[in-house]
Amino acid sequence: MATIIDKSKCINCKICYDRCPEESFGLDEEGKVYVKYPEECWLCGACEMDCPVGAIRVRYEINAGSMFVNKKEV
Amino acid sequence: MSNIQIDHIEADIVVCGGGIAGALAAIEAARRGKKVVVLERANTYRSGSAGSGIDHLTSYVPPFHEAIGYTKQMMKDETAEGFIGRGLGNRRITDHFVDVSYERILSLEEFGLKLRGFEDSHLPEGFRMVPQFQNVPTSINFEGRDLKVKLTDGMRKYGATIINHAQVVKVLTDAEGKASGAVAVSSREDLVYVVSAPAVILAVAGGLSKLTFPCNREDRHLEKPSASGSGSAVSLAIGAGAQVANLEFTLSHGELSYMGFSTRVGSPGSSWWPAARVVDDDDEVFVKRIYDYPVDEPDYVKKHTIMWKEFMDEFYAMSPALAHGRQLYMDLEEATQKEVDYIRWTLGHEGRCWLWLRNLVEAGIDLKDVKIPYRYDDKVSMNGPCSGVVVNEKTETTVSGLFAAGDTMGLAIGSGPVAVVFGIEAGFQASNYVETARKTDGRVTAAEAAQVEAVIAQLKHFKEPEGDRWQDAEARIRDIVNTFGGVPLTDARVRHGREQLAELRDHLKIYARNPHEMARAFQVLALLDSAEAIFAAADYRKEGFGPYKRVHRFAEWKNYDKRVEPEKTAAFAIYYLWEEQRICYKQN
Repeated sequence: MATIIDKSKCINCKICYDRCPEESFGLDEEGKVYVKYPEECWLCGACEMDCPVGAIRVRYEINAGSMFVNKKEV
Repeated sequence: MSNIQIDHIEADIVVCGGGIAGALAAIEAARRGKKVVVLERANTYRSGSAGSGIDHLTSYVPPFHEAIGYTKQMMKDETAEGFIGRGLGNRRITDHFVDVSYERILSLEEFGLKLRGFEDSHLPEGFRMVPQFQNVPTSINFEGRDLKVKLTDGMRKYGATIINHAQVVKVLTDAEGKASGAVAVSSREDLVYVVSAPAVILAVAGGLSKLTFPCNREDRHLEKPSASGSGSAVSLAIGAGAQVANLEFTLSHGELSYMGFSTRVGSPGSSWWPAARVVDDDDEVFVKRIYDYPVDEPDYVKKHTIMWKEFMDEFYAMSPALAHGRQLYMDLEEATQKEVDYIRWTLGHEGRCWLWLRNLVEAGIDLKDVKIPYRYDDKVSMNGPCSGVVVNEKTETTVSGLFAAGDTMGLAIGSGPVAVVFGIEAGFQASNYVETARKTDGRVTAAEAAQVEAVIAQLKHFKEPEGDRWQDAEARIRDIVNTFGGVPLTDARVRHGREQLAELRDHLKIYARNPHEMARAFQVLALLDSAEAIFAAADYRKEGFGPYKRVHRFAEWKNYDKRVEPEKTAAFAIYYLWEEQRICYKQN
């Protein structure tokens, strides 16, 4: 999963739930935000940008992200 | 089914889609005192192509361009006939763009965006500009990471009503065939919005990236392009009886890519700061890095044009080189630290690049220490120059009361700057239109009621608990397009494509378990409409054009002579794949 919510920091303001352009967040039975449709995230980072308490981190999954080749030989 | 609630709203203007074009249209109309309702599938704060930022907008910039002797006429000619317009557009639209772009793009400053006044700039008024689409620098780099946040605040300030989480599924037309409103399905509850309005602005999902493999090739196995590429614009326009154009030019083969930032050479971002070179496995330089001239350089335009042509020629050669097995890498070896800092600054403001950069920093990667490998993809991909809804320079479609702006527009070059310029235009023109248009009495006419009823029936059909997931239906459409939608489009392939899509439509039954999946299901229908329209357009066209050659039989393909219209070749990547095919023929 790309989107990781740090539950210890999350204040459940629902900004991520409200703004995600792919609507990948949902609310659980207690009304708390969670990543409901992780496969619909398209790695834009909006949730991480707009989280007021820095509780969200979007990491590239192992099959995403660029490849980098080191120039310096070790 | 009684549990579907219908919310009926009246407005002067309903804007479908709250991206750059929709937001600016809404602001312009609201500023003129019109009652505006914006229907947005996600949330205008972060939706659309610029949702997580935009770092560049192309414009004629008089203080710079006049200083170097680059005239408006030069930019008009290049825009219409060069590699963005490709001779496919409406000259009045592309000319109008050049005429008003500066004033309209600078009007974004009202919303707190910094577009000029950069202290390190060597250009008049402190612009930061890079070459991209023209022979001289015409793209303004700026701090647009939060553009959509600011435009959303702007819409609120001027009193536009924003309805988020509302997927537009139908443009309503009255008994006379004029646009009269829009229907949207909520992605959060069992709710349908019916907005009655004498003017409708289409500024929704102009892209069609969902139709082929995602533009972000690295995660294509996850099949997750943005819903911004669901083709809703084409579907809605056709549904309202409006004309669309150049649709068949959307499909082509071959692309060089890395991450989501395909075909970029000068830097790892979307605007081309040509500080990077391209090298092969043995560090042999394949594309040289280039340097800009000072503003007071004698014969600036001539020198820059020559330099840029050489650079582009080298760039165009990348795709066939990759196709033939030469591995190429982006390399910032010759970039100065100041240039690397500049690239990082632009990345921080451009769309998903911000996240790419953040991940890069977190991994402790210094751009100067690495090479970034390109990959050649032989998949059908979207190249849609000037394809979309037919409009004139006033953004009027062929349906009265229906306007289209941004990527939605056909016969225009598309992209961010067009969304800015013609979003404002659409807000202005629609405002004028409603001054004279007959006021509705607020009641839904019989003709409109039947259209709403059809949406409700479709919605109920999706709710029946049997059928396929929307993701699988979408994948099937993509599979058909990727199988038969390539170049050249022969009679047989067009026929097979149409038959496969028709069969899919006959048997399609998506099961939507909740409102979120309901909105997705409607997006899939829009995608299917778009796919059918593309194959139909190819079927109707009698003549081929450039590399989008329409041939009756595959055997005719080899007879095409690229020298016929070298300036009008559409997508450069496919151009070279085509050339490669010709080489193969010669070998045979």
